[in-house]
Amino acid sequence: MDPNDREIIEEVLSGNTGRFEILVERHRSMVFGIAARRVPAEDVDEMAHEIFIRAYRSLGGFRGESDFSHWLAGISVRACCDYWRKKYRSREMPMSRLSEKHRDWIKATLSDESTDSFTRKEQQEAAREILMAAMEKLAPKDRAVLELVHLEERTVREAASLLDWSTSNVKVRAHRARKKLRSLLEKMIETEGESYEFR
Amino acid sequence: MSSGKRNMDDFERKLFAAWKSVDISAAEGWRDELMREVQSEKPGGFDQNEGFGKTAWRLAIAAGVAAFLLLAHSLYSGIIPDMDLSALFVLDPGGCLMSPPFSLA
Repeated sequence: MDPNDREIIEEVLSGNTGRFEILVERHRSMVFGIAARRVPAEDVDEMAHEIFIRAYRSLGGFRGESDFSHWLAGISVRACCDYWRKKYRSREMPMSRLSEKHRDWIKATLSDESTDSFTRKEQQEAAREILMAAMEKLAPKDRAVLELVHLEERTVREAASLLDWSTSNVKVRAHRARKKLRSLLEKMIETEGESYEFR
Repeated sequence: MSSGKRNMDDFERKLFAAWKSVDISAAEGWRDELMREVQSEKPGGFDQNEGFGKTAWRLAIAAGVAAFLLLAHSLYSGIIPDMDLSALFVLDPGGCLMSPPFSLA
């Protein structure tokens, strides 16, 4: 029978560091899933690397009160939030602008026109890029809670546990972030992305 | 429901659905690089990034309690009047020396 996560953690902590690779293999798709949705594609590998290193460095702090995957998901979510916080602090936010492709997609979607001119992949890419561009204007904490509660549809309690916040803080911020995002998207739609400028 | 709001809801729904659909694949050699870094150091007790905030708050609270206890002890043991006298001397050394209780005259 395969050893469970806790048994592997004990082995790693007792010096058999190579066993950490089993944890990486078991949970990499979950970590990559969290990172790939939250940070730009070119930074996903680096983000996943940093998440596992953070987990490894704090392995002794894993109390086993929850599953290892939940604990690791919390580290992942907070690391992605830190990623945006650093970008904000260093004023390195990407300056997204909508292209012709994005504007065409917005127009077609809103006017109930056929979007057949786009392949399914192109449609998803355009929609995703539009959403990411709008979210660049949100504060990192608002963004983190919005992703958990409204995009991933996790419960308030679960989001609170992953972010290490109180449930009331999650409720307030999630509501406020959703309103902010809605108004950003409305602004984008009003102009069909024509004069939508970021920052 | 107005058609504008319906369109907006529909638009938002499409964006949210697209957000979930991402390609998840690691670059070749990603795991080897990670394991090289892992094996170059020991696993830690707690993540400094995660733990620093909490530790700083705990230290700040401990420092506040210590300062309060020190102040209470100072008041109890009579250091405060001595400090007042010192301050008086620093501010007006001449006047202090000419009048009681330090009077040299």
